[in-house]
Amino acid sequence: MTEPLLSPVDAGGDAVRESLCQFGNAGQLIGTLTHGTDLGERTPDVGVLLFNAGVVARMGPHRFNVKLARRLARLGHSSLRFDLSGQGDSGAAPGTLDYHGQTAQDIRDATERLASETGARRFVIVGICSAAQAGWHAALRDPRIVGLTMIDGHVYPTRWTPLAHRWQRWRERSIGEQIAFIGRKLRSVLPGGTPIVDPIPSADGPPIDDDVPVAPTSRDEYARGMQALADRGTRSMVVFTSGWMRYYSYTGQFAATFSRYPFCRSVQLEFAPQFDHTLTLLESQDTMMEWIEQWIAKC
Amino acid sequence: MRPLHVDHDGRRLAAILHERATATGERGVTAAGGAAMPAAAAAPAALLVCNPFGQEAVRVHRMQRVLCEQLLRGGLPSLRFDYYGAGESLGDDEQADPAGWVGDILAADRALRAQTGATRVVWLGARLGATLALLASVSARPADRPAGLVLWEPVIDGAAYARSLSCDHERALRSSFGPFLRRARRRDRPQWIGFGVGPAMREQLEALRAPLPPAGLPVAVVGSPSADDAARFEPPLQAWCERAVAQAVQAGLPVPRRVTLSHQFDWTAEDALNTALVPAPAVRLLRAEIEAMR
Repeated sequence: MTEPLLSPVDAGGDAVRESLCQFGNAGQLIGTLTHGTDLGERTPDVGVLLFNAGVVARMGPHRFNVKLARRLARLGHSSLRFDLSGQGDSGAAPGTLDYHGQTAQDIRDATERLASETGARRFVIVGICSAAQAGWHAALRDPRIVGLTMIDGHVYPTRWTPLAHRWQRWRERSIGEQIAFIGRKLRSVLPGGTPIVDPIPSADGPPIDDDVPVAPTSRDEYARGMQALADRGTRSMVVFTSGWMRYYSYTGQFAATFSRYPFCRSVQLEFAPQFDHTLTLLESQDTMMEWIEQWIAKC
Repeated sequence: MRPLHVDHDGRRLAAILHERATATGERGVTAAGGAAMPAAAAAPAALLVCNPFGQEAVRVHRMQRVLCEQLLRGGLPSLRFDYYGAGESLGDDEQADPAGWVGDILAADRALRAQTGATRVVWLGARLGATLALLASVSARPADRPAGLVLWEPVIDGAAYARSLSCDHERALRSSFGPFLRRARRRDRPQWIGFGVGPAMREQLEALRAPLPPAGLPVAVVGSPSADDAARFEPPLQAWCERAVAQAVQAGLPVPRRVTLSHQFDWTAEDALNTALVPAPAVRLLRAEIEAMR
């Protein structure tokens, strides 16, 4: 059920039309359609899918999905931001699918809904954290998904990641703090000293810190998937923020991991330690939206 | 759960109605200002949920949903909604203002009554939402007043609240950026924990003081115990309660209930880890207070 559109309502200076909808097999999914401004013959046919980052409802961290949807609407892109089954405002799914299976089904349902509402034939997914990972799996299954932005999604440390992370942290310290740190370090190795624990991930294999969702996808599987996406023309933008610094700590890490795959050259990589994981600063949100806007134009 | 829009004065609000579907599956389409189809079976009572501000609303979203689902199982429908310039509603962050949000509460209340047929509506407000619920109850015509108010840690002094949000903003950045805070590119755009703040929001908050509730209106105030005295709330809230009690005693009316919640809810936490999203003690307590007023 979609609520009929009323007259366009001002949403920050421009006319943006939004409507609420319910969809999914049992009508359990709830979403907000933001209709792209009619640009006449120039109206793009790329629809945008946005959904929960972790446990945050469909509006996204700090309302980022709402702001992005309205910004893209002014460029003619329609979008559907929705809550996955059981999250945000959506009800639980009645079936027996596991979390990953249900997530995939929900994204398929949302794609169909956005297609039927707007006539879009090609889609892009913009996902943060868990949404980046779920979007990647969805893109592999659906060739209509022609673009994927993954913010702090799958991450694969290299042997240099811990060292680069230490270096990045060291750079943040003032001279006084550096001297104090060296003092503490020296005292810690003296008899009776307390060791300094530095929670850095191991050089190989998955991160050791269990408070961050670890990609359930192996490095090779990810590489094969990214290659398959690139081969069919799907464009990817991969962003790593300071929130993932323990796992992604230098600009060349992605290339160092995947340089032997041709897809590596087609991925737009942004190493963004000036952002935090949830884009808390409005300045971060603005810059990220600019990047996405420019990237979608290439899709 | 059913999504609907509440339209009033050129403002479009996104809302979620927790209702039982009718036997025929018919459901209303729009709320205030729209042509509504037959609503669900009339219910004598309902709950309106008044959100707090910004990150506090993000934090409490899941808990409010769970609370509404539990209340519906007991036969009480409810409406959750986003203020203009917040959540899923239209409007930019910077267009939000407390005075406008008071009008949003009154419009949402009308929509809830129209959709459910409720004649008694209890309002639940958390933090700034509680203060706005108080303001709305004072400004409402007597016939439109709520059947009762459940106020969870209401903001008593808007200026102090604005200062605390500024502190929480810096705390959130330190927590989120960790050692990399100096990399953050910051300009002078007013903001509190990820949400833009317009001049109207700031100016109105600076002048905001929680009013006393309308005389005779059933009120329950839920708060955390003071660090110094477990039998009392923190000083500003305790002082406000004492004034509200004195007003009721003087008029010979029932006094507001003071209810202590020992669970400390971190209202502005960014991190979903290591913090209770749906603290059972809070849900139980709020549910009991709401059901007592229906």
